[in-house]
Amino acid sequence: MILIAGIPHEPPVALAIAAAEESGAAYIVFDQRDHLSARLQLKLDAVAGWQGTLSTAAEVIDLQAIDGVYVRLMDERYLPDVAVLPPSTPERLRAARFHSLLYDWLNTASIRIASRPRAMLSNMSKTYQAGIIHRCGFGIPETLVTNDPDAVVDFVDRCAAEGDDVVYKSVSGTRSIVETFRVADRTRLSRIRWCPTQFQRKVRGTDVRVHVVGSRVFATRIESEATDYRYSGRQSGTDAKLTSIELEPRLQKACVALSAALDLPFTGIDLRLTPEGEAVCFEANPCPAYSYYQSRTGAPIAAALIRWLAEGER
Amino acid sequence: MLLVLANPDDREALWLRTALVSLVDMPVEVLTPTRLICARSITHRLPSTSGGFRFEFADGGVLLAGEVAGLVNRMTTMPTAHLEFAAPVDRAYAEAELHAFLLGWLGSLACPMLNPPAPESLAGAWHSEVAALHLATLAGLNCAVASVDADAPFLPARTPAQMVHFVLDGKVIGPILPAGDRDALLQFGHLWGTRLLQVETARQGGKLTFVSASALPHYSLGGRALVRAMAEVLSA
Repeated sequence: MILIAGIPHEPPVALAIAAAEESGAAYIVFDQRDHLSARLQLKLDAVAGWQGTLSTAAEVIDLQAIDGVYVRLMDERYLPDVAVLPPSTPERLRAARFHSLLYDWLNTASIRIASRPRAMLSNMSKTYQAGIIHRCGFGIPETLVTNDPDAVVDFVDRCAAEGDDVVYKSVSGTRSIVETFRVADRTRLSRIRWCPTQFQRKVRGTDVRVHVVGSRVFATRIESEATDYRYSGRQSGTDAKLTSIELEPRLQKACVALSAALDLPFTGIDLRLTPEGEAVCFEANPCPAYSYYQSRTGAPIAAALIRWLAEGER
Repeated sequence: MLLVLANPDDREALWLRTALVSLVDMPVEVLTPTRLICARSITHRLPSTSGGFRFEFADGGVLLAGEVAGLVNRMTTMPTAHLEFAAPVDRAYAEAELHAFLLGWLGSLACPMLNPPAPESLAGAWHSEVAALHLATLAGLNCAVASVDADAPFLPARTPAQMVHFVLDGKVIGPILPAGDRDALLQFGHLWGTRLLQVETARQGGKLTFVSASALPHYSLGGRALVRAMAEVLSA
């Protein structure tokens, strides 16, 4: 039995449900919006660890019957029924306790989980993740994290002398729009004194998003004039063009290895393939919004995810 | 030099520094997170072949990548007082960025480190009490009967600890144990996912029963044997 945990109408969750339905796999959905009425009870077994039940108004789910879980839960603090409440209200506190216990189970259950909440945290720091990415054999962009305006100017000038732009973006998992560093930005560099900021030499090449599901690889080439293709319409006036491609076997293996090193059986890896033939990796997204890519290329990512969850290998 | 990254009131860190000094032939210095974060100039370059890191402090002192031979990481809190007057949204963003920078910087250090940082805690791998009981069970340690519910979240009171052991890189340091119990502690340390772990246990019905664990050990409880083993690892 597969458990799909999230908001059912959210596109990645909706696609997973549709794929489970189509494949005939046994599945149940935990609608995260039911969290306040849901009950989670765990008991410590002397051999197997925590076991128990997840109960909603509709059903009682025996957690021992679950073979795989697709986790697409949002931060409970932003769920509509509690987001507007002050932090110390009983509903907010209960939401925190429920999710904490649910994450404990997801982090420890000896079943297929895409992906464990604990493993998803590596994306909280792009430079931390970059170390793992580099050890897996990918190139990483030349990066400077600094609070020193002079160091930025030196870095920008050196890259410019070699014909390259510099981009800046968040170090943390906080979503930010990647922007090219412009001459006008020099006047506000003193702001970085408060907090080290990430600058990267812009890598030339073709963007490729790779979704890894277990050992299966789905690659999408993205063509866009924008610095950040996710905001292509805003930055360049035209939408990005997405096409399914076949990665060379060496790169496929490296992507699967990276996914395993991060303990993320389902991940979205952002690559740029340079004209020199190097694969530079920017980050691995632990809970990818794959629906954007599947809807534009037809790649059967959701079907692969459901198949992986249903295989039942422990 | 060996660095002990810790708050100035961290007694265990100060005790350890004193204990390490006589065992290693290099300087052992305490570096506080505040000094680190308030450095006049911070540069961290990746990949490390591009130069590693450099901190230039307000008093003119400089810390370079090549100078750190080993690091004891007790970064339990991240200094954020300098962000106090920022707007709440900006403060939250800056705190996330600062945490991400520190995690990335600690994670990039090539020197021996006790303990390496983890995404869930700058000071090293951390598990909730619920997860710790699960790991202890899997490792073969006895655990008290427990159940937990989001509406009754409290686990039963812990058994008082009778013994303290330290698991360090595949060694168990502490009172002598039967081989089976020692193996269970080693397995527990492995499952926890860190190099140095303090484990507290008790004997219940003849079985070694798990009480608690921490990747932020009380070194003084491990005494000279623990410090000697740490010195060996840190100067490797």
